[in-house]
Amino acid sequence: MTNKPTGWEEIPQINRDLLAPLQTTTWRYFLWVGILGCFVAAGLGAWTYQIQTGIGQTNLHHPIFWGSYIGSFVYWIGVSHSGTFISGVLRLTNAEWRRPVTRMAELMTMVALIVTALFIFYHLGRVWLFYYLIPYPNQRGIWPNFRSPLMWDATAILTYATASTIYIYLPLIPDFALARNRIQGWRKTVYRWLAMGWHGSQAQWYTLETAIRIITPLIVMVMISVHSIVGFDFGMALVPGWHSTIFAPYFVVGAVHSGLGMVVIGLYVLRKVYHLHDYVRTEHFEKIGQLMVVTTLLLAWLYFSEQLTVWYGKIPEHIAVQDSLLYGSYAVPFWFMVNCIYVLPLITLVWPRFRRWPLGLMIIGLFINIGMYMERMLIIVPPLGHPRLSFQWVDYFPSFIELTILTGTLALALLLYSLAIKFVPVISIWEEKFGRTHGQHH
Amino acid sequence: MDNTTDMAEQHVILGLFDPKTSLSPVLDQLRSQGIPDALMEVLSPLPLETPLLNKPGGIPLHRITIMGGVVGIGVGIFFAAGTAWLYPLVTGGKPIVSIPVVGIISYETMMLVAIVVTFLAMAVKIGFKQQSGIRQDPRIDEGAVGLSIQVGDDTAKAESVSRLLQEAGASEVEIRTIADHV
Repeated sequence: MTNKPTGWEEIPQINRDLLAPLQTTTWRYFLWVGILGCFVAAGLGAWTYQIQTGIGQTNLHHPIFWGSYIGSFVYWIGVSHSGTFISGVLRLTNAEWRRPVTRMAELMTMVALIVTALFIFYHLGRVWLFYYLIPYPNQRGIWPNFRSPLMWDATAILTYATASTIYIYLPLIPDFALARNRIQGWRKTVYRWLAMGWHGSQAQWYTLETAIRIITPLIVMVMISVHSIVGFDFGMALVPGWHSTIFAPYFVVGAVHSGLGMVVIGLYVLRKVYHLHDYVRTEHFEKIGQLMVVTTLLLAWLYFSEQLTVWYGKIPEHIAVQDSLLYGSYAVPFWFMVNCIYVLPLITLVWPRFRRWPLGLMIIGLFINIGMYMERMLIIVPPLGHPRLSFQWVDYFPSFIELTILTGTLALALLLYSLAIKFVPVISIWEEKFGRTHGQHH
Repeated sequence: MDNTTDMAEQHVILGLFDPKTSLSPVLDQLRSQGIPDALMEVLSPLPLETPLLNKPGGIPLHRITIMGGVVGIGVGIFFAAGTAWLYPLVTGGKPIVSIPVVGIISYETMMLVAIVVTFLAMAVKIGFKQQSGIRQDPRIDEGAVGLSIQVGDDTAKAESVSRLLQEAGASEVEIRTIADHV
């Protein structure tokens, strides 16, 4: 007991480093926020125009009723799995290297969930009647039909959004208390509320850790169920190209794949902008790279199984969809997608040296996300564009209004994330301290 | 106003220790002076590995989670089965109440209610049931471990506890009143 326990002397420095992004803001940040704000305004304008003039402003016409909005919805709900997976699964498996990564990923979950919810509203023809979806006794005599997978979806997403918010909030409480003691102005009042009277007593730590320990396995189970149910939206439909048992596991793995790609992008950018090299180190990229190899192989296996079954069965309606992907009107995006999410990650990430190259990993994460976005669109559009009667076959590309809304929403996601990192420490401060004081300097 | 005056006489002693200092001996000495664990609190910037104080924790959180889950299943059955009976939508070849659907909805509502009540119970435990007279000290944020003791309005006891903490190796000892913390 003669020496100070390891890591405790680093605590003041950790406080300073990790609270710095909340306390200092440069003109570059305001410029970035301003640019994003312009794109968001354009998207908002396009949505307003769509509401005023009707859903006919989109290219969603018979037989393609689900297009860019539902494709984006599926993509963003997948991205939202990043935080839950990184934080939840790695916490369950006691992977100590997760500590500097979890908060960044959890913030992505929050932002992605907000954006996901927006796509439901974009998709509604008469958005002002959204409350028809809510089950409450009413004079209309209308009641949501719980036998529809869309109602399962609504229930699952409500559960996931609520549970994720709680799960993200729990480890933030001690950090909010720290910020409450250090930051002045209006934010201090907000932090005081959010810290819920935290003073770091033994009883509080015990209660918080118990709650996290209880909720972690539950949130992982919710995460798996949510994307399975999103997969059921398609798998339950008797549409050639959709009616398959593989959709639930395929959607879950695909969600984690895109989520990991997004986390890598976030890690790279935040580490660079906020000089977090002492906290987010090369080994964190390497570990995520290893996970990405696993998700790439799993996803490729599931996709190949599905496509092989369709190809071997040669059922005309099903093979028509597959042909449109392999060498038809969707061949270019299909093969681009295959390269982005399977080929490129595999030929690069299997090399340990590449996994230790943060920039390279970030680029692969970018390709994975572009590829996964196209993959979601290719799951939805070609089957709808090839109904059983071939005289109805059509192609689809989003309209200018749709593209503007999509761009505006992407900008909104970036804007919300940029605002969030000015309010929430991007690395869980107490967990980082705990890791260092307990000799887990990962 | 009278209440405020009364509260101002309640003393809270805060001792700040280096993390290398073992608090067990000083806690034993305080117990031998007749101070129960309920009036003491150990404050730290991170969770401590071994619990130093023995305090009744109320209903265990996991029991609340299980109760919430059971209620959640009931909510799911009500929505997926109950409302289907109340508002029957007859679809050819399909039952009014579908067991797999009830299972899926009940699973989700079970999780939802279980997680929400766990959170609410935790919030009550850490937020509202906190020991009066304790607040976060900036020096604890910087790596010190705090020991806070409520001694009531007994000034002599406050001084003896303060002395004891200093002898136990506290780097700083402060006598505060509850009113300081409001």
